Amino acid sequence: MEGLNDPAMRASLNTSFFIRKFVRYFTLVFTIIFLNFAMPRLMPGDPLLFLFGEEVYGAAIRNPELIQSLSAKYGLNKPIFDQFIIYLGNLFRGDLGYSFSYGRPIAEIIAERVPLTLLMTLPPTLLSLVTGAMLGLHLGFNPERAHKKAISSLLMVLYSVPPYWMAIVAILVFSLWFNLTPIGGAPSPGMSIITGVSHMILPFSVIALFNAAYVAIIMRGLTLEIAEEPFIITAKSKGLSYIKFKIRHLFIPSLAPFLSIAAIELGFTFSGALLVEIAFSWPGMGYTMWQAVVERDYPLLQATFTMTALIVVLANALADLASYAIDPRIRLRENGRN
Amino acid sequence: MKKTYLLISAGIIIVAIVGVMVSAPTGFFNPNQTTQQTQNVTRTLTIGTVNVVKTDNYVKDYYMGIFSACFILDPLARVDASGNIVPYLVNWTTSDSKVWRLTLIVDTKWHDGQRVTAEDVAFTIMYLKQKDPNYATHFQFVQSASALDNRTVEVTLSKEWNSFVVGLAATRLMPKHIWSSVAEPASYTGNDRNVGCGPFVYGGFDAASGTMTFLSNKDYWRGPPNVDKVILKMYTTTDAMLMALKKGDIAATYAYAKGIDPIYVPSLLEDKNVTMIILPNFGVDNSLWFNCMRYPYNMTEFRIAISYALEYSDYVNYISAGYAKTPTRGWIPDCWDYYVPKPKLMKNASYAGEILSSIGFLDRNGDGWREYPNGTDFNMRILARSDISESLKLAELVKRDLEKIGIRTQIVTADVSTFQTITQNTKDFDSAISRTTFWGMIMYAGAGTLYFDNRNMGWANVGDPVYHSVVDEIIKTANQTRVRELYAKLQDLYAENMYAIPLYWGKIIQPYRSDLVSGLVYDTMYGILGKDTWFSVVVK
Repeated sequence: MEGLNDPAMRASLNTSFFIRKFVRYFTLVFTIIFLNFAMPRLMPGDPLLFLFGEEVYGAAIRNPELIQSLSAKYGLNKPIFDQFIIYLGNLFRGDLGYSFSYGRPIAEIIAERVPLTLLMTLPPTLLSLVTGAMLGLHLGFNPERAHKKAISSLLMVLYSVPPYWMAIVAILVFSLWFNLTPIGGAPSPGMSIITGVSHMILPFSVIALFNAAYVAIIMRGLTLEIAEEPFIITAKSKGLSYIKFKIRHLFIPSLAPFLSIAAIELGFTFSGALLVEIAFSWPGMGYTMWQAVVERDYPLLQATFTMTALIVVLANALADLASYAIDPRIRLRENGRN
Repeated sequence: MKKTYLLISAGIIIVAIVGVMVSAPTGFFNPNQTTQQTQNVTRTLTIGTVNVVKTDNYVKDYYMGIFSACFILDPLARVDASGNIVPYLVNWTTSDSKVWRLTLIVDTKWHDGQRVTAEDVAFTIMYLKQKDPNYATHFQFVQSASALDNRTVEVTLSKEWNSFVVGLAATRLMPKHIWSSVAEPASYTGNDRNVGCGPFVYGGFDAASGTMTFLSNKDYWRGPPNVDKVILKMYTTTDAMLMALKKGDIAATYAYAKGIDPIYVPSLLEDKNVTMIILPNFGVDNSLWFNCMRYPYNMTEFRIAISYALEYSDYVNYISAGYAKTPTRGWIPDCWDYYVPKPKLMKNASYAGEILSSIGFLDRNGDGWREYPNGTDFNMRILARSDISESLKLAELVKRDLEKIGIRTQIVTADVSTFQTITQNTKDFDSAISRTTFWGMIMYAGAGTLYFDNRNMGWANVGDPVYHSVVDEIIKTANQTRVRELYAKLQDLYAENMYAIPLYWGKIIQPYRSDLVSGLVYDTMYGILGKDTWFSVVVK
């Protein structure tokens, strides 16, 4: 371990860490791309069904010429391996393909849906990360106090409530009974700012409450663990202010696992919140993915799943790097492997 | 410690204040209020729907196709209240069921001012046959369609095919001058893609807020509609749509080929302004379909035994909340004018058991379950749609009834794509629960033949030569009296063979707000969005 003080040695270890991480993430990304290609095709169900409608499908599949021409049109007649190579080639060229069910380039559909999704998920996720972390930190230190126990129980209740149900109850109370917000739909360019924001209030609140409860519960757990460490007693005895003590000795040591959680949460903001989107009739990425699954729209499925996975992987990679940079324990652990 | 509290409290207070500031004025700006203000100037009708449009190209998008047929396009033929296909834009004659002469019976214009001619009719038939997979089936026997003059089109088929008129009812007339230069209609995005000759002009689609607008066509051949503007508001759940109805954001709800689930009725009836149109359903709400090509479901006695095991009144009460009736053995609902009365289905568990025992399905090892005649374990699988809760509930009730007579039963769930692939293509199933639509009832040879005949969709996988011969004769027969006789024969076959057991005949329940709208007319094919509504509707 003494070698870690040598700059040349440190640089070599850093390079080794980056190479290891790169290989790991590259393998992960390739596996994801392969699974996203293979899994929709392993699902039972004919992607041509939704080109016909259920009443016409039965007659259509008994017309081999028609089926052949449509299969050729959508590239479904080629061997699976060829389809995979074409898909990889297109992906590396940045061509996400053409949706069976929308009849439009997928890049266009994603460009339309991602801003709506981020509008719904990003602000509450950011808020919930900050408030959840603060609350969890507070609840995890001296957890035996009555009010902290009560808040922790409330958080468990909030986290246990399905977001879809929470969304429906929110619509019932705030839209139907009190007539404060619209029942559904996302903001659109023609709307005034007030109307646009009014569409966002309920989805924002539901996602923020649910995520904040989750983050706070995790953060409380992390804090409870750290509070048992011997250095906490030393830190307490230094007579630091309460805020400084919490930030320096409770929050910073738990930053690495918190960053991992934050990375996953932020990564999934791109994939939307399916059930909340359905409850609020919000045409985001989650709803689009769900429709693609139902309609066996392979290209759209591949593209949306791959994009979501890549963003989550990227966010995790960044979190890994940040943890490595800020937490000496991680540097020691990672480099100790060599 | 105190500072942390202060920080958290300040955060909560700020969020709450922003929330109240933003929420409070919303009540003054909500869609309902805006609609009412607009109504001073124009008569605007807002209708909620769970049929979500993905792209506003009616060749590509299924629901856009439905809405375009209701608003911006006109069909060649329509379906009357008794389920018969009758002329709308064209009338037809044929002497041999192979050569058909279509005559434009109205003088009308496209929304861009050009006149509708027989060329448009001939073009639409041939263009859709070539470019739209759906019509490749509807018009599969069409060899040619050509305009003889400005008002007459001659269509030649490759064989006698009386179901050609069903294709006419499905066909929305398209303008030749726009589409003739479009090679790929499913991806066409030109601004003129929604030019039609229907009672409304397309007003645009906002996918984010889920609203589509239609403006009245003052030059429509039946005169201007009674409403100036229709806004369709799309919801992804029925719960949200019905809350919008209660709130008054929408005046009526719409779901193609069905009404609302009866379980919602009691809650809606609490609102004095919500009224229901309740009509018999021309489709069979749910049937238990046997795979008639697989043992033992290919045995008529086995199927009849099952028909005596079921508690039909429970399906009426628990699944349809009483808005249904117990069917007869003839399968065809009694609202059809060719319906022939047959004995009502009824439970007789001991008789069901006797039939099963007589064909060798006995409990030989005393474990409470019947075995195959050769002594091996018997297990009946019921395929049910996982995306339709009513289908799953019904499967549970049927399972309960079958287990009471000693049939071990397993429910297999599948989403819509898997379900249709299994039942229509791979045929790897024992039995299935599913509903039929009005449209499906009239397709092929009519009388639900689409769902039975294994040469078509054939959920029941019926390969019986007698059944096939009746279907073939209906397709070739132009004489309506003879068609009636053949439909009666079909009902005899349904009752004698029980290829499928109708579980209940339900009702279409269509709610609307009587304080916001009246004069809605229920169309057999398009529900309250049928053409007649636009000439009787009153926006209040």
